[in-house]
Amino acid sequence: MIEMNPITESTETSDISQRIGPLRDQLNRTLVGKEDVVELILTCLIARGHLLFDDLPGLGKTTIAKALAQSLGGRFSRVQCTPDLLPTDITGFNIFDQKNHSFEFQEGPVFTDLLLADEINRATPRTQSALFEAMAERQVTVDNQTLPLPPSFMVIATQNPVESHGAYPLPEAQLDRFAMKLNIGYPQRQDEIVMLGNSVGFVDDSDPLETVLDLNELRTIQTSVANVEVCEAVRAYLVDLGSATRNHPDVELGLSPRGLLLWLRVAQAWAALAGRGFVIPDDIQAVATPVLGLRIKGSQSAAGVLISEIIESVSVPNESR
Amino acid sequence: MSGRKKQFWNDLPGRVQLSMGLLAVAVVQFFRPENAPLLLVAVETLLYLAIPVLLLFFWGHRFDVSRSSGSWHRNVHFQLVGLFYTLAPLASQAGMRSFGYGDAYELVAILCVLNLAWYFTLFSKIARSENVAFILNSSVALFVCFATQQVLVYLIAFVYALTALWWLVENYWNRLIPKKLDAETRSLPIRGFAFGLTLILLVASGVIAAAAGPMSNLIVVQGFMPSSGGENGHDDMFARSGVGDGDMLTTGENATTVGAVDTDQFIEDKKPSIYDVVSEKYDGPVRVRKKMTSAQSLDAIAKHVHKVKNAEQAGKTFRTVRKSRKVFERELEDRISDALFFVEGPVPTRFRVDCFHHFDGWDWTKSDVRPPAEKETNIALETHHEHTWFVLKSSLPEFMAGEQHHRVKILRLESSALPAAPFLKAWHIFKVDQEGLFKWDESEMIRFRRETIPSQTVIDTISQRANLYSLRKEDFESFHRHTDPNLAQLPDNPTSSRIRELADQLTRGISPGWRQVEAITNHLRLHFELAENQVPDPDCEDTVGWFLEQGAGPSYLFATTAVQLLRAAGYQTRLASGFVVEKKDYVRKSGQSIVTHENYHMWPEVCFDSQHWIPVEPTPGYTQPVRYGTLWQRTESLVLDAIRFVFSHPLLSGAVLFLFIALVVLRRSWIAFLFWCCWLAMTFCGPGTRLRQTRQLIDARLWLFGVPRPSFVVIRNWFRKIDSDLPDEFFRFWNQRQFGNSVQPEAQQVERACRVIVSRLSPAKIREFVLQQND
Repeated sequence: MIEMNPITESTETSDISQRIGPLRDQLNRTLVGKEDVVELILTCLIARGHLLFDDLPGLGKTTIAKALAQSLGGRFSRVQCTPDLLPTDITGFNIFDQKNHSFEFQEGPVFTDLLLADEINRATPRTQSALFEAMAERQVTVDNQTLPLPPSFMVIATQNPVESHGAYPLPEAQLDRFAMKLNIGYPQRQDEIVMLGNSVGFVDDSDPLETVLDLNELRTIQTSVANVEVCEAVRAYLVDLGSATRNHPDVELGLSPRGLLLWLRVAQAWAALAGRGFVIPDDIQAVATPVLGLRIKGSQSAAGVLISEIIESVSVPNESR
Repeated sequence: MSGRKKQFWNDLPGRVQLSMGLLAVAVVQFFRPENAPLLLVAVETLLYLAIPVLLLFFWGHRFDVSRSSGSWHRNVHFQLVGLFYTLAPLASQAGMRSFGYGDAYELVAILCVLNLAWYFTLFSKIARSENVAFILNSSVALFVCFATQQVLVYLIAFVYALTALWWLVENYWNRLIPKKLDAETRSLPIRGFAFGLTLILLVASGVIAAAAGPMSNLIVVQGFMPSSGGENGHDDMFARSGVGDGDMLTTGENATTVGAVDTDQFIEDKKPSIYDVVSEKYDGPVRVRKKMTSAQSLDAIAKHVHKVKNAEQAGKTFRTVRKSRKVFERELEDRISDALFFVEGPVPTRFRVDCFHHFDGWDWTKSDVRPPAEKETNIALETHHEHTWFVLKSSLPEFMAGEQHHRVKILRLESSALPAAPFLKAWHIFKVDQEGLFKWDESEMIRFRRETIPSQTVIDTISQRANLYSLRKEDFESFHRHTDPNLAQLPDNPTSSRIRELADQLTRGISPGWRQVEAITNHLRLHFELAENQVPDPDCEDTVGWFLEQGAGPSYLFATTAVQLLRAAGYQTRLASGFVVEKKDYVRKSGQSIVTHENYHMWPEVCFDSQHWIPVEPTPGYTQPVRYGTLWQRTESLVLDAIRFVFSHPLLSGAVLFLFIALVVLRRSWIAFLFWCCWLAMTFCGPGTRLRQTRQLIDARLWLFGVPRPSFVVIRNWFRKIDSDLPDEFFRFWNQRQFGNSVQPEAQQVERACRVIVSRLSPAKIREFVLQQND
């Protein structure tokens, strides 16, 4: 167990929630009435995870991704995935500089702080695979040359679950590299009224949002999140849940150790956002659906039902000490 | 419809399968009620039918019935539960037999198979269960058809056969269809065809059955029922009659039968039967003997001498100086040939046939201790279930505990005394209902008004059992002592003073009553040795003194000495003689005990209430007549004691009952209150323990009121289901304590948070939540 100064740690974690507050407010203003989704986006962000939006068109996937990038003040790239998109269109390529008689590397959109891969399931598997290394190891290898990506590199991908024609479902290996999958869903009636009210009058979409969280500060927060305490009972609980996914008769593919590590990190981030310096079973359960949603593949039942069954099959630790 | 109900209906077998199971049950149960009352059979049947239904309802999901092949857990559970259910009739039979009901052994076996069949029928969705159920049901129905003579059972079995045929057609028709359809394209109306076929068969069979008349003679196989007698079998008390009557019934070697009186063997016998006496064929009408009374003007000694003389002449004395007795083991056949009477019923027991009151240090003699006329009026005739019983009308003392039945068959007893267990209540002789046939004699024995009770007479007796527990508790201070000088008499010799000293020594410090009696008899049992061959010399003047010095002697000296000691302690005591039947006398094969001369024994009897004589046993090696008995008897005693207590203390019992009902109705509240008191008393604990106790208290309250927290739900989520506005403080402290490593909260803060949550999640609040949920 990581030894920490309890007072400092407690102060740090409560500070995280405070420091992330402006970003939270800005995103909530952008995506009206979706506080829970915004909270999970922030969780994924400070957990250094990648995010997959799986929802219908027009629900604000791209909007929230752009808003997040602008709020962080970092570089933002967008790739509109189509079947003719090539891997080099994402990673970059070497071109011959006739003046210098040498090859010069032309960086692709992946060299950014926040990459929005729109409609990712429309890219071919070959192109999708170009993101493997970038997402897992935060580096890109082109022509035997390995180039590091920015430390705050994050992929926000979207996919449309309805249209299957001309789409290539993401392979399990790709899915496993995302930290969580989110559904934004339709807004509530009252929220839609507010949203419509906000759009009345001239709105200049080209005006960028105010930067409310510096990338360096984000990096500090991400480091602090990694230090959030996880006691042995909670770790055992997490392992039991992982085993339950592997032993469930209706689950074809259980949770990988990488998935378990990501779940832990996301739970740490959730605890940090709640102002806590330690993870409790509530945190594990709170992020279970977005984390397991893209990892659990059932033979018959829907993923939501399977996740509920898995959670219900493991007792929460009440008496850890 | 809830999920469980829906699953239950899905798991249920098909209608045809269910009908087959129920018909098989009906076949057996209509065949059965020969020995058991209809109501009992109905209740038991419903119970056995209901058990698998309830199992299917509550545990169907565990058995995973809808999946034909399950895990080994499912299979093991299924088989274990099935095994217990199959063997359940054995247990219920044991219980029923203790109430005097029961079935023949082969029928018990059928009931077991029937249970198994019904179990498989209910769970027929499990692989191969349907076929097994079919085979078992059919086997049971077939067996019963071969063993019964009842037309109703044949009819039910016939309907069963038709249903079984239907089931076969439904299940296996598909295998036949291709052969038909190869030739013709038109599909066959399967259900209509099967229905028509069964209807035709039903009518045809009914006509044949009606034409054939009584079929029993054709079908019933002789000796098919092994426990109903037969050449080598034994006659179980619940064996079914009418099939393979055994030799035992005709040879008369059984206490149950009275058939022997009609056999050639008995007709050639010169001795009269009880029916000859009752019908007055043998020796004229029964007459009540006149009592001989005469005025006596002699002094006490002369009176006694005169009495002994008379008694000797009449053979009514028992001399304590006797020749030594030869004791040797006898074979069973010898015992039967020497049998005085057979006894069927619980043993060990004892049958008193005589008693003595006066002891002069040498001889025991009888004396008139009660006016006989007073007793004579107490024998009444009562009819129960068309049988006439001679009933003794007397009040029951407090220390009685239930009844016991015995059946005695007189063989060579040659006595007019009715051999009966202590505390006789009633007796019955088949077809004998003549008033005045029995009388009380001068020594309080019930005697037949002839010289002897005829051989081959079968007497059913009902007697009471004394409860040792009640006897020990009984307050005997209120009873009369020394009401009869004859029963407190001690011989006029030097030993009497020694006897008094010993009695005083043995009873000192023990409260008067049964405990003192036990102290005296136990002293003899523990410190004296039974030696049948060690007898006093013929010139011995004081046999009790001799016995006390020797420390050993025959059983009658144990009894004599015990009587003296008990009288010296102030208890009315007499010497009783009769037959003690021990467990070793029980012959399992015939289900009865054989009583010979070797069972003759003497023992003291104590009277506390001038009415009931309680036997005691001072001789080592003989079973105590008053004891706790079997577990059932003890339970029965306790129940009777409780009933008596309830009726004697109605106010207190009512209050206790009210309190009990209140406790049951308000069980949740007071248990929750107890938990709360415990929680309140533990304020001295540290913050961590206090938090845990609070969590446990709330969890216990939720469990009590039917909303237990599932193990996978964190406390915050569940507790807030009850009260969504619960403050966060407690949960924060809880999480901090359980999962955090940061600064721990102060005890006072924790106590405050705990008190808040305990008061917010009060039993009333939880009950209100449960009611809302139910609405």
